[in-house]
Amino acid sequence: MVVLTSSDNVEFTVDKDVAERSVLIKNMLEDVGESDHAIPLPNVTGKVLSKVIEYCEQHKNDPLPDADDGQDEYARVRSSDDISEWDKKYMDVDQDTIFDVILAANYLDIRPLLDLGCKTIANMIKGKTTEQIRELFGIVNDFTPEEEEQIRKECEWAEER
Amino acid sequence: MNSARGTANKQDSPGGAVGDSGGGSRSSVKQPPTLTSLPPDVTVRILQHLPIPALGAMAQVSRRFKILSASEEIYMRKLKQMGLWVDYEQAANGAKGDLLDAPIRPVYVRSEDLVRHVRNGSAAGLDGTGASPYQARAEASIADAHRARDQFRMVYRDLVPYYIDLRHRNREPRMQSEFPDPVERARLIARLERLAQCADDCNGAYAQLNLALETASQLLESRSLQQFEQAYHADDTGSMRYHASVLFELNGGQSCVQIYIQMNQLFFGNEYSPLDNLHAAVNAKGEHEPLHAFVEHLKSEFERQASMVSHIFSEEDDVLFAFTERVYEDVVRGLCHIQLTYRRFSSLTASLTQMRPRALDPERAERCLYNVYSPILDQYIEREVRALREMYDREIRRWDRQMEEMKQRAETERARKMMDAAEREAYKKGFLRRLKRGLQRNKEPAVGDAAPSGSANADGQTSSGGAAAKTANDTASSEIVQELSGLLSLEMSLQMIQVNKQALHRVLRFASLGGRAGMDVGRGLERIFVSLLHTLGQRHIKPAFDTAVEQLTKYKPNQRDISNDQVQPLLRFFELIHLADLVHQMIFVYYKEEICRFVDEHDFTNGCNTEKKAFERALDDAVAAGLDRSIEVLMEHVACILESEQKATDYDPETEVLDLRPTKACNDAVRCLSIHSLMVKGATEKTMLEVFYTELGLRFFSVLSKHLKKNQISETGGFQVISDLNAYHEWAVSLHAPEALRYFHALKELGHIYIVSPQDLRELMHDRRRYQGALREEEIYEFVQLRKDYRKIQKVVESEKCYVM
Repeated sequence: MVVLTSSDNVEFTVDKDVAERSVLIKNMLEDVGESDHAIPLPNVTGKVLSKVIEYCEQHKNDPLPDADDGQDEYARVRSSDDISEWDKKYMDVDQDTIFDVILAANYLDIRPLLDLGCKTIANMIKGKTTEQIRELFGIVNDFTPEEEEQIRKECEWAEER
Repeated sequence: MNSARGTANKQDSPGGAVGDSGGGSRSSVKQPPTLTSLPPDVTVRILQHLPIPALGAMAQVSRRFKILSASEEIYMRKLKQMGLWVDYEQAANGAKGDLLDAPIRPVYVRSEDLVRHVRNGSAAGLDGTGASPYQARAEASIADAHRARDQFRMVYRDLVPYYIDLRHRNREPRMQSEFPDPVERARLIARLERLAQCADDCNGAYAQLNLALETASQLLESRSLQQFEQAYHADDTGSMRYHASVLFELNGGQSCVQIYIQMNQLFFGNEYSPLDNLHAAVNAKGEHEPLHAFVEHLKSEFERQASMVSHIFSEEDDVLFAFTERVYEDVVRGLCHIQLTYRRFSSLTASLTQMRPRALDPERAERCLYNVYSPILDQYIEREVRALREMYDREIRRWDRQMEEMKQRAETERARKMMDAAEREAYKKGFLRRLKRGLQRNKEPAVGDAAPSGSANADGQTSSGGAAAKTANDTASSEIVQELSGLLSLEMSLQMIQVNKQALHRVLRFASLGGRAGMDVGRGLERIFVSLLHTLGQRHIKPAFDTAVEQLTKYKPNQRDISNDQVQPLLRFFELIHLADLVHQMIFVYYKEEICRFVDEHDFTNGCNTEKKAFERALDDAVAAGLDRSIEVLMEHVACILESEQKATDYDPETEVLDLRPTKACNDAVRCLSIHSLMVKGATEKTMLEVFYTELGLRFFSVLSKHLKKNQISETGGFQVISDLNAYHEWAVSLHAPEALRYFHALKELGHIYIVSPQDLRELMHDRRRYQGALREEEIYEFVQLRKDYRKIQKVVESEKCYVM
């Protein structure tokens, strides 16, 4: 068992193979060896950590992604709609939580969870206009009118036809 | 806490800018994160999942996303997805092309800049040193180094019109009119299909287009296939080649390869029925005629295919191999039979690697053969070993039964004719010659002959029939052998070796399969050889020795027997040693000539070698144990001869007449000894023989001493004693055992003590050099006491002795 402490000092006790879904924690355990000390995770709040642990529990028996497949990542054709039912439901939460989970997954180095979060956001973006996207994510348009006109022209090639 | 951060950074650095993003997230903990506040790498990850139109929309959202959505990773990935990604170095080499050769479009004019950029860019992004990834991207954007995006945009712009055009279903698509050449059109369709993956945003906007695209693809495929088939039937290789290339452009052309292979007549049955082989005669080369014809037919078909395939398909398509694989799976497997067909198909396979203009590489060709045969190889070796064991078992039982019968008759046929040394030598040589001839003879047909004698039965039962037939022929000569020893059958051993060799050769045909099969064959070889050693060692030689030793143990000399020079159990035992040695030699020859071709003689871990060693050791032990016992028996026998034949008057004659010939008792004893000692000669290895003779001499010396001491010796008898001792000495010389000879030499010298005067006796008794340390003083004294006149001279002798002392 491994004890994890969140930024707001909430302690979580989880199975080793659940905790090791996180490459960060896995490498730490390998470096420092087993100990009774809690592992501090200063970038993750208790709320987010419990959400992340939920994912890790569910996927604790999945094969670990190869550590050095960064190169092949591009070659692999990934579709954004091959998300399992459980994962879909897991991600059926408010935007803030999704971003929190993405950040935590990025920090803890849980590649499948990071991908899941990114795909979820990507699916939210798909089929929307620029204005709709700004609205959805509360993004301020910081282009000058001239810039806006220029970028619109630049992107014409990509427009849906 | 600190250590945790340290570890995090350490592990993060190779993983890209994750460490950096950690920093980003730290600040974002306080306020809820937004899409804008995500680290750039994470944002790019999200953007990678977007289709092109959504990327365009994203770019217009804000400055940040304008830069991020222009990231090289995104477009590199899309190019890879489309199969258009090429290494920059390669791209630099290719300078021409058109829309359909997009990967080598001259987009990369300044390829060196590009390489530098890609390297610098990725370095900045990866090691996290220097500027932040976002900064690096921003700079890249300013430098306008978006090679991947530019390239992708070009391809996309060029291709999209054809894609969009599919929307108008009621008029002929543009690609139809603009690319009338089916090869080019096929290439275009293949590209569009990949493009569709990048453009489609999964909300149905392009579903119609994709359907239309699929229809176009299928239409082209089926039309081309149809034309390919027509060309196939018309035997028009040029046309076939053309349509095949269309299909290869379209989707790799597997459908066309499949059709090409499937349409081959071979798979629609043929005029050759395997059943014909059952009735057919075997031709001069020992092959079944219909099989032969069929394999020839296959061979010519392969040759035809080799040239056809080279006209129609390109080398990379590997059609010839696919065809071969199919033929082996579908046609050869059905005929796959270790006994009957392996040799044929194996030579067919070899010929496939020699074909022109295209040939199979040997490794894969053999793999085809191996795949077909290996499933039955294990089974086959198992069966071969089992058949061998059964045959051996049968033979051993038969032999044991005969032995039993013989035993019952044996009482009446006690006096068997024994061979003398010369005859035996000739006989032995004859046998070895036969063995060698047999090995040689079988070598040749085994190479050219698919079915060894008797194994032509259809279910592949391994054969012992050939050997059985031979048994009948040779029974005449084997009778003699049985007469010879009654314990060991040379004939049977020879037969077993020959059968063993045949089995070995059948298994070795698969040695060429290599890989796992090669190991199977190696193990099979081991098992076959070991089964021979076990059978002969444990079940034949060992029981024979057991019986012989038992007979020796039971033997008790009696008066009646001594009239006979020969001790039956001894003779039988000595014969047995000879025979066992011969069997050993035969196995050795077999081992040297056959086994050593495949087994390293010095590989002490190999089962063949260890078992052979064990066999030899067991044989030596049995011989040694038997020899030990046989010396005892011989001594008992000789002692009995001496006892019963040596008359009291021999050494103490009543008359003074001197007869300087050895006594009858001596003669008989020496004859008996030499007959038996000579018999062992050449039967076993030299060192053991030396030990044996030494032991024999020493033991007889003590028997003789004991015997002499029972007599009283007069002066006249003394001469008799001397002549006897000379005879014994002569025999001892013939042993060539210096250690033992020393004692007889001493005895011979000792003889003089009976004929000299008491005065000289003193000198004789104490001349140690005379006795070479073989006789102790007390013993000499004891011998002196045998003198008839001892009482008279006792004083002199004893006083002398005191004097000496």
